[in-house]
Amino acid sequence: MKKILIIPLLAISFVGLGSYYYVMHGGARDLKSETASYCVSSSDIASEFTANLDNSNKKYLEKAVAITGTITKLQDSLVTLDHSIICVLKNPDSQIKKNQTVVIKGRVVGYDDLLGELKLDQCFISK
Amino acid sequence: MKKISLLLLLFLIGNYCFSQKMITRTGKITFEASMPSFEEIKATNNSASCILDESTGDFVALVLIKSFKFKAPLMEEHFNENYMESNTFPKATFKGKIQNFDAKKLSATKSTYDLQGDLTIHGVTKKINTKINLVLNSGKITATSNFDIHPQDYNIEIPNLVKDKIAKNVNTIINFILEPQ
Repeated sequence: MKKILIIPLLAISFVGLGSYYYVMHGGARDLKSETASYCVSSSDIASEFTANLDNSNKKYLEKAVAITGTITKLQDSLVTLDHSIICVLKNPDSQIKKNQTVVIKGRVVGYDDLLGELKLDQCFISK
Repeated sequence: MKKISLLLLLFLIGNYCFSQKMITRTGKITFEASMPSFEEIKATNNSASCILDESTGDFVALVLIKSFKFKAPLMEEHFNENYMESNTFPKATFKGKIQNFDAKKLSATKSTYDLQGDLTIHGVTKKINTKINLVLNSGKITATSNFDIHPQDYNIEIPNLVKDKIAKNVNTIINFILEPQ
């Protein structure tokens, strides 16, 4: 009799825990497992955004992109490529140096037209 | 030679006095719309941009909606897709002026000013009027402010089903550390 009760109880608590975990932690993106939708150079993507903001937003927002450029500024987990692209690294990377040419992969969050900079987050150095 | 260096010096001083812009690109904005006894609804953004013109008190700020971070990724997704529609409206901006601003009066003790301007969220622009606290510390200005935003003012629709779980007044806190450019 007791066994019959325990099994459904366990099943229910597993389903409960599973859905709780999904609600609290599920749905996160992992850019490392995604292939980049676009591979571009820093100057190309920057000039696309300055030329036509709306179209570029439609094209790039939320997308995973790989951008090639030279690091012009390095500050904690903020990496600036060619003065125009701000990448927020997911984890700080001690390997990179100023003036180094890198490929950074990240998610496009939008264009900051106040400072004229494109912003990416969840970034990591892919090359 | 002396004249040139004097001119150069004057030019530099002039520049320093008249167009000193204080900037941040790592401004912090936090909002909370939690209701007691329901799930915490709180998000932080650490990459707001802001420019304060010290000569005029002009204060402009911009924040990208997609860089708000929630505790739960699903909440973040709903915030972006259902409420803020961040694919259509990727940013929120503020354009305003600190009233009676005088850079020379700033000090290490907190001074409070009136801040007036236009706040644009979700494509809707509203006038807001709030207080801003400014502290000058080793060449940097820390600007903090705290105000409420009402989602319905900005045409942000909250479905009936979750109406009780989301506060009508969304408390917003900003904390910018502005540095000379």
